[in-house]
Amino acid sequence: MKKRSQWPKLVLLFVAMALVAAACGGDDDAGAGGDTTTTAAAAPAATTTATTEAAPATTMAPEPTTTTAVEMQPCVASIGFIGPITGPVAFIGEVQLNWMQYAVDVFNEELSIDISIVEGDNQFDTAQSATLAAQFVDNADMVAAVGPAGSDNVDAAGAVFEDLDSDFSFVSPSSTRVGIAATYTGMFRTVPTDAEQGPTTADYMIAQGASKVFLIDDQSSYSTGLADSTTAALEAGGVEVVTESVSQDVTDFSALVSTIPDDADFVYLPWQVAANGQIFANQMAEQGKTIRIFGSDGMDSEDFTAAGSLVATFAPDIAGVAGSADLLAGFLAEYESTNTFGPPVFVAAQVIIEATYRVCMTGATPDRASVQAEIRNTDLADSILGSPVSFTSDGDLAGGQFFISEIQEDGTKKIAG
Amino acid sequence: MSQIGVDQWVEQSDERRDRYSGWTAPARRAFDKLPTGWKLAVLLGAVAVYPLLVPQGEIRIGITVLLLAMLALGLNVVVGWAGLLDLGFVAFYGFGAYFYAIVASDQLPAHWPTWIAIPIIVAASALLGALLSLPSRRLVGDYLAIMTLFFAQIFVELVRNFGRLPFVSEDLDLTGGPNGIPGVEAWDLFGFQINSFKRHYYLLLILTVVLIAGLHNLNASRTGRAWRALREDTLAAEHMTTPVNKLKLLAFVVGAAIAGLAGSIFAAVQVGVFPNNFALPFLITIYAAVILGGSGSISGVVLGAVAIGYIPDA
Amino acid sequence: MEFFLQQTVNGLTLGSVYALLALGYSMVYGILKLLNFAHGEVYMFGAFAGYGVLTVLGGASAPLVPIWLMILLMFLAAIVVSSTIGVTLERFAYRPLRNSTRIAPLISAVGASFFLQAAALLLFTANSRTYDAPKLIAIQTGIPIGPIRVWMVRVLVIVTSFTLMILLTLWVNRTRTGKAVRAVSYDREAAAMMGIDVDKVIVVTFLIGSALAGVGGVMVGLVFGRVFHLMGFVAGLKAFTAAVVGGIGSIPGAMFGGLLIGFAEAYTTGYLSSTFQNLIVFGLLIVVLLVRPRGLFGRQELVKV
Repeated sequence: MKKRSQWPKLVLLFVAMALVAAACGGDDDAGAGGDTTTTAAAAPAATTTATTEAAPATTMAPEPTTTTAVEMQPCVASIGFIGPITGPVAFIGEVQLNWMQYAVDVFNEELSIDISIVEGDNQFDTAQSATLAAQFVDNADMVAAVGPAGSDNVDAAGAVFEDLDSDFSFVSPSSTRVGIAATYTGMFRTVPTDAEQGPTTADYMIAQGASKVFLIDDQSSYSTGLADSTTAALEAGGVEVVTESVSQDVTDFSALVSTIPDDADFVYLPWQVAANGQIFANQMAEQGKTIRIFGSDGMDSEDFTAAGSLVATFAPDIAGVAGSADLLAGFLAEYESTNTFGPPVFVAAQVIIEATYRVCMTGATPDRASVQAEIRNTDLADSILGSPVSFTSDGDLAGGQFFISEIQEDGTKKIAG
Repeated sequence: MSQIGVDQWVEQSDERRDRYSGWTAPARRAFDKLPTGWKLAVLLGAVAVYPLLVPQGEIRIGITVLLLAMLALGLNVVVGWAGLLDLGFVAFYGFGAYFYAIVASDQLPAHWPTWIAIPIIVAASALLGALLSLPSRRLVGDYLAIMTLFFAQIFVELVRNFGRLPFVSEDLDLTGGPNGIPGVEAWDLFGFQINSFKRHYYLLLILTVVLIAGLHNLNASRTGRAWRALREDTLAAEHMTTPVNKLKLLAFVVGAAIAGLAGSIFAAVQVGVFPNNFALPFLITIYAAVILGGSGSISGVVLGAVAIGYIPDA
Repeated sequence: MEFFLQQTVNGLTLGSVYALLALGYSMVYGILKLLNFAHGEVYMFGAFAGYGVLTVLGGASAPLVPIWLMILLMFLAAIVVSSTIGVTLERFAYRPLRNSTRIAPLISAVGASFFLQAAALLLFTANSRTYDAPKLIAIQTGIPIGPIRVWMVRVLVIVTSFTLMILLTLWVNRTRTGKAVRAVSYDREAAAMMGIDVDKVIVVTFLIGSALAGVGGVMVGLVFGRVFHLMGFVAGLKAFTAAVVGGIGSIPGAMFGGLLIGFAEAYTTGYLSSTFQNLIVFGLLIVVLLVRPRGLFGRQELVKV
């Protein structure tokens, strides 16, 4: 068997390549900010990122509002992050991680506390999410986590949190399936659900006099959930809905575009990948189809700029809200670009950090149970999303609402309803 | 100078013994002296106490590794022994997982007892394997590979869109579409619930050991030798009156049964199944484990699974 | 009729891109019996090279050079980048393993594919880029065919790929190097004994196959628009499928296989279902393979026992 002699060489080559690949994947955020983030290359999951803002907590005097004579403990804790930093939807995870880092930097400075991030890359894979969840529970310093994105990953991680430590809170910045927050004790979310977006979308179309809507979902759990709630609301309003679906992997929609019936009033695209929506719009123009595209909040992105189209948004143009505009400018000064998946992460991190801070203010050392209790008490009068934030008993965002905006010729958006 | 009548190995025995130094030396010398069976027992003991010493996250990784080891063992039968390039292997894993999830969750009103469900799942997976082996009568090499790849793709496509099939009524959405099936129940072996990471780890460890023993014997048997003949030269084997088609069928069946069993455990471990768990990237992971460890060797593919399981990026 | 014509154009565009990709796959396989899994990534880098040129020269909305020159430069850049990567792969990932087991270079190819994906993620981030071709060549321009109008970019894609396919066929059949390629693909050892420089032939094969992939990348960027680090995976899979269905190793087979899949996808979406597009197309291909187990153009090899 002379074949065997080649194996050592081969194994070496494979391992070398895997290592290089892992190293590349691991430190791709190094260029994004000025931080000296230390990210280990092929560590199975959680890698601690130290924030550079040397927390001045220890040197600063206690805030004047605290009247107690107790010597303030430095408020130290770590927060986990689970998101698709690499993998098929890395464009979501990259932006989410940047916003997470930004939120921690902002609040560490503002509140003089010392919060650090433990980042976990789930590659949009439920098995990875479950492993990360178990590792987060093991990490005694961790009080709560932000993430994951996607309802299937929430299910996988949620089952582990529920089983191992239901005091562990996780605040998902982008899971929209109805009812999922009630399933897991520690789950909260900072985005409104399909139960809000579907009817808002349908009502707007009905108000515009729609009688036939062509709906295409992208076969993701985000998309089908939204498609179901919108279809139900549209049909209740007497609108005919023709449904199709197309895999996210597809980037040529021309054959599908040709099948759009000419008498449809809207083409509704509840899609996760806004860039695909742009291709769809181009191919409609190419075939001379002038039916209006209506995108879900996933399409509320710089990548989708087809003038005249409508998109649903839960944060109506945060650049227009006074406090938010500064935060957004600060973010863009440090990181290149953002999309609709980013700001809810900022809110999720803010909710956890402020809950931790409130625990510290009582003189206690923050632990999971106390932080979860404080997250439940969250009552932000305003947020970067331009709306107040508090949670229902299930952990859903209370009073979440959607707006419809129209994309203008110059690419800006204007609220239409 | 060699003494007459004493061979080199015996002569150098002291040298070999002195090779070990440091505080572990006595232990390593003692390990060397053990008979092979005992050595295995020591290794097994180390693997068995592992979950008692590490935190939950590490046990969860251990579960992933053991599942991957089972799958690598199964794939090794098809690819390593019979030499059939099966790119549809991951679909059997998915089939077992979905089957278990459907009969052990709220998808169906009837919740099957585990001791009935598991044998049926394994048998059904084997049957599906037999079905997929049919094209291998005509197709060889890369043509068989692409055919089985289609099978894997079709499986994922089907579970993702089952509820939309034209002949399926809307209420009968067995697979839950892209949402998958959350809330899968734990194995219940006559009242004993396998419901923690630790118990899953031990269940998998026991099954893996049984599997290794079984495969070891199978490999040494007439069938094992015939598979190797098939792998090295199908045409020659056929001329030697080896029942080529029967052997191909058997390889697919054994591989599929193992994958189906692993799948039913995976569904319970994850407390849910989702279409993306069974997509191509995971197939590549199983292949990487088999090839890195050395396709054809039982201990090799298990080591390969350990190596790959600890690097999630692969 | 209009609908059928429209779907035919859709299928033809898609199919000609698949065909270009499948050619690279099939040529390499014909010579080395190696599935070059990194081929999709070579194509992805070609698409990014085209995007780079476009951006440097002012972008689609304000091009600094005439449009024909811009497109030519984009193609050239893609050819240079892709063939460099292809030849480098051959030299460092495949050549050292050429005489080992069949599966060794396959794993090396998968490793190279992951490596290139990770490199692209690092270099270009995970954001999708878009050529924004409608700004470069207005969407209203086009050639009318019966009741429909075919956008100039589609015309460009279809004409370019067919020209390249014809040139390749001529090259393989009429030139000395082409003859050498055929000889090496038929029997590498015998070819070496006849004084053919096998190493050189293999490098040339990689060069041409990768250049075709690069051209395919720019075409996809122009006509479909979205360029991102994982675009090579699905495209590579389609190309592999096309090459095998056509009869792997066969050049006309790869072209025909690519076109077949393009048409099958367009008509399936148009007349049956977009949801089950893959299901139906794969089902169809399974039937093709069962009827012709060596692919459409594959030759039955004589196997020595």
